[in-house]
Amino acid sequence: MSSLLYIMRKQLKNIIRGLAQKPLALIGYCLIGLLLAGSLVTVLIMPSGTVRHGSNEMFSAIFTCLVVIALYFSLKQGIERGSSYFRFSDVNLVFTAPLKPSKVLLYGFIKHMGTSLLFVLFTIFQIPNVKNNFMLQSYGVWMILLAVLFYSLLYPIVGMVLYTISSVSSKRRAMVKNILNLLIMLFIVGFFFMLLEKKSFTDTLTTYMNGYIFTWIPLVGQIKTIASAAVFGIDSAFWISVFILTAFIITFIVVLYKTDLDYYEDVLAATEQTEKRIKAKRQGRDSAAAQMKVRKIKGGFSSVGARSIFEKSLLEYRKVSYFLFFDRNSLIIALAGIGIYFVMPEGQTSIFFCLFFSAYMLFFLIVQGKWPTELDKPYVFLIPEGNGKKLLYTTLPENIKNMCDGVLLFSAYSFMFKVQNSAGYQISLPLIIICAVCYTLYGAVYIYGDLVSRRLFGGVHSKVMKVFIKLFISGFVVLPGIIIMGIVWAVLRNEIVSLMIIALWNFLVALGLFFASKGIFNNIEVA
Amino acid sequence: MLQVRNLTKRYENVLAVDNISFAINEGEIGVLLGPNGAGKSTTIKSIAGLLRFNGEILINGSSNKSIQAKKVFGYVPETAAVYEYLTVWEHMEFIARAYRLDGDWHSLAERLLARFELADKKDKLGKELSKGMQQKISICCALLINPRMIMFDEPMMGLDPKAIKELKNIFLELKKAGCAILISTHIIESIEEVWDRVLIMNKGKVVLSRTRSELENRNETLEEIFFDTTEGVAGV
Repeated sequence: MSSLLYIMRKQLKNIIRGLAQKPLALIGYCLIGLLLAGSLVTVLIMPSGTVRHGSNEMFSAIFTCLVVIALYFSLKQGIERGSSYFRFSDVNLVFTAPLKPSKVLLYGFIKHMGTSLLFVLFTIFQIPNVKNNFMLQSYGVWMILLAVLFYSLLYPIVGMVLYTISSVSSKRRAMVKNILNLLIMLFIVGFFFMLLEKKSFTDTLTTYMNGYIFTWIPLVGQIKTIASAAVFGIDSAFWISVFILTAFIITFIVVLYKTDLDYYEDVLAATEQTEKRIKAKRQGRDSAAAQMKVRKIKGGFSSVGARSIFEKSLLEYRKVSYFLFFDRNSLIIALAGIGIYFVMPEGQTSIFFCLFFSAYMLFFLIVQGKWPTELDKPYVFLIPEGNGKKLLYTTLPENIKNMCDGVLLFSAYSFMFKVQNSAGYQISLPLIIICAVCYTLYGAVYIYGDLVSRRLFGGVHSKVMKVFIKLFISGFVVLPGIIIMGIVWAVLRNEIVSLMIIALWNFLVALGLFFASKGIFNNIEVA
Repeated sequence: MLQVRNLTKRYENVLAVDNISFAINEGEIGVLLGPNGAGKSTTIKSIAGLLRFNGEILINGSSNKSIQAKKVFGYVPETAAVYEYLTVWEHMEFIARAYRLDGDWHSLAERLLARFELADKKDKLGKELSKGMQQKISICCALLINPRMIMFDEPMMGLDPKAIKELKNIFLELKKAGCAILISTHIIESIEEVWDRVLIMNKGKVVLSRTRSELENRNETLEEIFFDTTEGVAGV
């Protein structure tokens, strides 16, 4: 075990030493640390229920629903590929070393605990929304964090156990998968039956998810009980749940430590998956994109020169999207934009908030999106065409996609919530179009801002730092547009004119950034 | 065909390439030989116009970053780079259209894919191919443009013996056709039969430059001069 602890100790030491040698990165990490600490203090001292006073039952229902959904996908992945706490370096060096497999597993579990703690820390950023909408107990934040910690520690264990049981044969794997799918189908069907009866989504959610049965589902019941203590207060059920989950983890560790295990083969597939995910993240890509299903589509090239880059991207989109440019990200943006309606205080909802929130979400989708992968390969760099043309046609598909997503989002938002403009008309087509244009131009600012950031800060080694820098730069350049819009809105009270101000500002900024980023194709090392 | 003058490339505090100069003529196979970290890949990437550098690089008389130069040179990167969602044939079609190749490219593409045993994999996606096959696509893409100068960065990595043999034949065919070839490698045996000019690099410098006839006249072998020059000598 001492050799395994040595690896952990040395790696941590080397990370810290590496940071000390890169002062800019160190400052960045310090800032992130301060931001986290500040957020934690803020969420602890901020008052609860300032936006609305959601019922305790609703809080419990939402949390249970999230745990059920997250657990379903984790277990599904566990059955298909298993779970792994390991990296390839562990497979190559630790698995082959003369060490007891049970000790190796314990080492993996200790490493995973570190990751879980980080996961818990980052959930702090989501807690203000919870506090704004629900009346939490004074210690409520800690209860939520504890529930998240238990979840992140437990799901890999259950995933690994399920994989071990099901990987014996493909028949058994299919059976376990079918049972899991059947359970989730029952869950959904039950919900819809109650929805038909109650005819209210929120009533159904509250009643259904607070049903007695969920308390008795292993893990879901205990995590739900722990999280619910944030609003209902600590009771005996809370302590019993903490005891059960802790006992489960300890038993798991002890059993593993005592048993003569042969699990190396079981974790290989999952380790490979972990490695792919980490590689994708390091390249700033969405790791789920690597697992997308691809349709067989032929043809698509009709142009020559730089335009063929555009046609190539179009062809790739047609292969992986649901329809035209609509893909998983379109759904995420639509759900996020619509979801903001429920988070805003009643009577204060506005299509402006939908625009700003979806534009904020768009930033993360763009920096992790498909188009930056073009910069990983040398082809576009080598094509004998002007840099301006190459940049235009490389980024055009992403801009068109943003326009399509914008139209989908703002049409859906307007139709669902019957948005009225200042003149009182319902569902204003010009309003939908100008919102979609603003959204697209936000996207353009992020795309070309990303490129300028790469040119200026390409040498920064940390991906997280790069994302923060890009977020800061993007926020800085779009802010004046929002301020001017705010002034125009205060004076004229006209959405269309106000949004046109944003569109105009973003267009000018995007244009400037486009010309500043043209030279990216002269230097692959910053791309 | 290729002229490199006073090329220097620095990454933050590391001097990767230190003021090197050399030239590769038409119909000549130049080899950049050196241990790991000698600066070979950086040199090749600089010539391919992918990096910023100090100095001057001319390809066919034009700056390497100009459109004129890009039209005439091909580049096979060290790590195979393919588009995950394009098929093998779509890679060929994309390159042909991007480089505005004339109508004859179809038959050349078919021949190249056949030579590298990819003809039956034309409809396979990039992500469905093994690393070796991805490397073969990279090579086919670079050859499809009928380059007058071509650079290979560690081209044999991941290739099967048949593909290695085929690639060596292609080196000789390109040379016969008057193409200037620059190969970067640290595996001496892989280029022993084909090279005309060797540039041995170490710690960012070209520590020795020899033609095949010079070496033969001195009764030396590539392996001997490689170890003589990369183990302790500070440059020429």
